[in-house]
Amino acid sequence: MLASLHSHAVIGMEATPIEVETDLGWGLPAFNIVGLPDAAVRESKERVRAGMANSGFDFPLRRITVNLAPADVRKAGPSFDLPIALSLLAASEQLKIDGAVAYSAAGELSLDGTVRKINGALSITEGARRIGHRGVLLPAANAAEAALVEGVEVIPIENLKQAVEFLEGKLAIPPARTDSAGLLARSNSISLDLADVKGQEHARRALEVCAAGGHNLLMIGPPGSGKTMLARRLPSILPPLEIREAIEVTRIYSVAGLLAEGRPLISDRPFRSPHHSISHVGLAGGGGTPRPGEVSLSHLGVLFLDELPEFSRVALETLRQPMEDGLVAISRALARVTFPASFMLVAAMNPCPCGHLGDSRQQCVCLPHRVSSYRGRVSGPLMDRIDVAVEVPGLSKKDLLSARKRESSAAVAARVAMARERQLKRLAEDSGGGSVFCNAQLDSRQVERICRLVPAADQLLAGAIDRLGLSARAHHRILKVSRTIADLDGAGEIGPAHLAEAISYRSIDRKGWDGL
Amino acid sequence: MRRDAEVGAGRSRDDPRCRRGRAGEALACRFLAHHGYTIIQTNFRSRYGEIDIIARRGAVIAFIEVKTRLSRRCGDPFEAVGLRKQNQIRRLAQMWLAANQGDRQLRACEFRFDVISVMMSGREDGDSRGDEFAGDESFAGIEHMEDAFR
Repeated sequence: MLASLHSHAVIGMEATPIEVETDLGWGLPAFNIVGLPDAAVRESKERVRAGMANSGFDFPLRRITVNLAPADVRKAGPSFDLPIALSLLAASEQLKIDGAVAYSAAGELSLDGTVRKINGALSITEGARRIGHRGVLLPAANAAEAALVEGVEVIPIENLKQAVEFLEGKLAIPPARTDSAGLLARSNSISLDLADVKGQEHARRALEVCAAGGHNLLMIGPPGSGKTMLARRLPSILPPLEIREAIEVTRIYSVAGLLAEGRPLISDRPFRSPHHSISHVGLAGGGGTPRPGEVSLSHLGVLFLDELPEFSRVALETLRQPMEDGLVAISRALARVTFPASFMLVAAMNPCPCGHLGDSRQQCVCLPHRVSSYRGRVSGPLMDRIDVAVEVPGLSKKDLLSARKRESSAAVAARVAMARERQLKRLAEDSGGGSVFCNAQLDSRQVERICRLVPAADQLLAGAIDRLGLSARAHHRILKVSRTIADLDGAGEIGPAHLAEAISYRSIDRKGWDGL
Repeated sequence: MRRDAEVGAGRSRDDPRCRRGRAGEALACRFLAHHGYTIIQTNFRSRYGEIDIIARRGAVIAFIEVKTRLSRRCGDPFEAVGLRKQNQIRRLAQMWLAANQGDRQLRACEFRFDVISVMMSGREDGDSRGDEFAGDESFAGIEHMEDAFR
């Protein structure tokens, strides 16, 4: 009259093992679920009852107590339906299993007994492997994504009856397999090409440098000059995701429930462009049971903030910590979780409210104090974290009407890939790889070791620190950008030209703000 | 809670509604017996109300509420057993179990809450005003809903 089965609760990105215990006691019929269930788990009573009845099982006329242990972990979401139903069937001896079950289970039940898709299947499978289960019973719709994890069987389950027959050994279900390398190769559905952008040589170069080193970019220019167009073409020149990176990104999308049907692996670098009305929770992540925000959804990809000063100040300031650490720590009353958030920030803004300050063809009509308050919305600390700031001026008539074909994304991407390769090789020599993939992610110690200057460049840097009043962080960031420029150049050490270009991208820093 | 206790709402035992109710319960008992149930007790009563019928078949003991109606004008009889009534019957069932603790046989039983609807064909317009029509009523249909709530 007592049965138990393993399942998992997904908290943040990690799966915690949960024991689903069911007891059938004597007394008036009742069905209680204990162990800090949330509303979705409590509602699972109704789904389990209907799902069992419609699969041809009896719902026992007993005092049913389901305990989700450990009792101090909060359980959220409908993924406990399947394990609750199975342990209830085992307790009422409608599911006969001898000995311990080597499988854990997770899935939402529909009223007719079919098993529906859940969030976080990838994390659950990793959790099952970690605690040494032979396999895990998962909704068929999640099987492809879960099978990205190796070393544990993923059993795709269509409905409750099938799960019972499988556990009783009456039905053999082959574990799901996913060809991750094949899925990765099938990516690159990018249709936007840099060849479509007219003029803006300076901005194109800046975009290339940022892509090569993973640096943050701010583009300032009048409306219609091509800022958004450039940003949207950034994914086309970024190197493709490595398999390890792709799985990391997929894990986040699995937890967020954003994996599209038929696309179990996120094979392209994420490009997220949230609207400026986004809240700080939407950006950083959060909620009662914390869910990943836009910074995590753009992990290993691009977070594009168009009209930067229009974002709420609170939202923008939440970017500071993830930009520095590559992850975001979210603390709530119910849970404390960490989501990865290593993204490239690409921002675009106008130079002033009317958009035409510094425009050679149109007069700016803004009052000076309006201009300074507009720019003041982007705080100094945030500006300090932007490695590359470029002007994107309005196009001249000549550029506008020119029919000359520009360099295509493929050509730029090839140079970017070369530069990245040099970085990876150097990183492997320096610290054996690890979790650092590009120059922008170097920590301060690595910067000291890796970003070596030739003596002439050293002097130039000293002068720039004085002249621009650079912070210690800005100093490091300039070194990283110049390292990337040298990588694009194929140079072993950073020369004065590389450094000078990196410093020029900082010219809008503080003092430079007025120079526009 | 006075409403459901005893004859309820200050009605006399001769009120046609009470007489009709008792007639329905008697019909339900016959119906249950015909379907293999043993009637354990009728009108188990306490200060909180009463359970119309407690019956047993095999290892299942059913607590049964009987609703008798002349027409569906005020909704289906089953609808009339709302959450308040369900809670009341649950509570009474607990009291009954406590009162019968000594019965060893009960330990092997399962329990269930049923509702029986008894339709009487009164006047077609459903007027149930006075005594003079009470005699016209005759049995029209009976429905037994097993495991109606938990």
